[in-house]
Amino acid sequence: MKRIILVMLLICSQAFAGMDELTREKERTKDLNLIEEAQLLLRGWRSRRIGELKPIVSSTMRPSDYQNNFHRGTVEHMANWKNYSFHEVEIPDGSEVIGRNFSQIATNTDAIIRKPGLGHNLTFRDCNLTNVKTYPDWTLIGSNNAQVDRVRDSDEPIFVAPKSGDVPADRVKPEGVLE
Amino acid sequence: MKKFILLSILLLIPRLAFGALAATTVWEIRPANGSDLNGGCVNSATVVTDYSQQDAAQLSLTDLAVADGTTAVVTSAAAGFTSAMVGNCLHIESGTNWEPSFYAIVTFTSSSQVTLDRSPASAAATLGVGKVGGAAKTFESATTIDITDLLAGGHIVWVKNETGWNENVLLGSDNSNGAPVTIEGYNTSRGDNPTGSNRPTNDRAGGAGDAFTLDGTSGNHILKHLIGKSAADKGFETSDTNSICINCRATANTGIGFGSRWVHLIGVESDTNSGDGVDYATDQGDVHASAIHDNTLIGIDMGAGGESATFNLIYDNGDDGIEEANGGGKTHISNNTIDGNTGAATDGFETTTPSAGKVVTNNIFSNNGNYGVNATDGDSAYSDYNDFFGNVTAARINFPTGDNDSTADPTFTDAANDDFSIGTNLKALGIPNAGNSAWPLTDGYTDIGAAQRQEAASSSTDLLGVIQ
Repeated sequence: MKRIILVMLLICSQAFAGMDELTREKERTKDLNLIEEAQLLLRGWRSRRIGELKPIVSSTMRPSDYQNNFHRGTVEHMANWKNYSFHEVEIPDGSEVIGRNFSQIATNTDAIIRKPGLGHNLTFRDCNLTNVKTYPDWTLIGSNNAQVDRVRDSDEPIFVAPKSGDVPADRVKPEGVLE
Repeated sequence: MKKFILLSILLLIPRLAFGALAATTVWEIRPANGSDLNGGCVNSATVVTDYSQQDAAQLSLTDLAVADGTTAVVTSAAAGFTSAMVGNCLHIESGTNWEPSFYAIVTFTSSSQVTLDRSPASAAATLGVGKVGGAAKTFESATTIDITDLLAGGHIVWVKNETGWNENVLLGSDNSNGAPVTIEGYNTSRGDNPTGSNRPTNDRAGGAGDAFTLDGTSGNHILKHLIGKSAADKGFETSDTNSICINCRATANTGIGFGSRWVHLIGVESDTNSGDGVDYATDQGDVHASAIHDNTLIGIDMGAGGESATFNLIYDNGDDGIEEANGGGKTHISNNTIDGNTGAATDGFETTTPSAGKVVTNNIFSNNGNYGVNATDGDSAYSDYNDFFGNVTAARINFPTGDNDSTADPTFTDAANDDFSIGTNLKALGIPNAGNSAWPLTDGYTDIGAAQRQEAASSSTDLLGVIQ
């Protein structure tokens, strides 16, 4: 009996915590469904719908696998959005992407989803691929694949290597480097 | 004895020929077709025929000679000097007792003898290798003494739009007030004011360091029509005092696009960098008529106060559009369009507790991930004539609401594809406007946001010159 009361109290407290977010999001998005309303009540944000822009992450809407500001979850590549920093991105096989920002916080990060139909034989032209792990079937043209360490409260990247393949697999990162 | 030995060593060390070229020196750099062995420059005040504006050297010699370490008279048995070469630079690259550097030809005596602007050797020397004419290839790669070592107040460096430019250009204390060093890119002919990909691109290809480093304590550099791309640090590192970047672009760099103090940015683009778009870490600067977008971190990170940001498009950055971590001071933020900056806690403008003197007017804060404006305690700011629309958490927090603020949809023409021209909702709602008592004889109006509609408010025919 005590457990049930505890669970109910927990649910009530979480629901109350998300009420403001639900109210705000209802003003922005008129067609919220029940699942989205529950997400807003329980965790304060709802999962992003495919194609949502401006922005693609907000206080009340994020990719469903969002973890934190440096790991912002998975989004699909869109023709009219350039900044995919800290996201994992789904790009159809054989695509050419131009002028996008795929920067990641840590060296050799798998930023592009690779599974059947996605992430193979890609061409990156004039893209920022800082700290992105690259693959032999990709073509990089005029793109930046520098690998750097970053430490908290500093704007200065610490140079590690000019491209993904130059980072030793057994490299031990210095203490304090952000992951 | 020790003193004698020390003195002997000092005397034996070859002098490096940093001697100053004239303030009227003009350099030519062609990253693909120039050569670091070429003459590379002229004295524009004395030049007869400018041989620097060609790919190949006009004259190449390997038997240059001087009689001693004090004379500026240079001879060559192979000959080839002409009177038309006066004012061109002779780039001496190597040879025993020579001091490799760039020298200006002052006097033509004969085809086998000229006089330079200063002595080119530490002692009597023969078999000197040098060239007259031809464009240089880089700023930094000439042997011993390179171009940035010799830049001085008044110099102009023209950079042609050619492929293959990849170096960290290091600009030090070159100049003084009234005599800046100007580095200007061109496409096909000097002064053609290139745009887009017609600007010369210093593509670092992920290489360590910046694309351009301005770190002189005495600044006054003017950079025009240049692109700094794909550096493993900043696109333009600007620790100079009072430098200006005009129509430059910092793109896809691993660090900050433009940073980190003093520089004035006019009509620049800073995009898809992994750091901030613009960062004034500790000192003043200003950004005007620029586009700061799609950077991983903050659009414009303001420093200790005194900065201004006017008529900028600041959008789709991964952190705040504008941020003042320390509250700043007398900043001026007007007529910016700050839209779609993405993140769970990302604001259009974030500040702390600003001191009196902050002015925030005529801006559009729209579609940002958290607040339009987020302050710890912003009551001391003057804020009015701003538009707040579609910011996810709320329009503002702890920031004053102006009597003339708007919540209208800006109805951008096509924000998803970077067209931020507005519809009619915000037309003529900015300041100054038709009711501006300070301008009694001038009719006109101002739209809110960066892009102005450029049309009369009603029957107005006399529009505001600069603002319109």
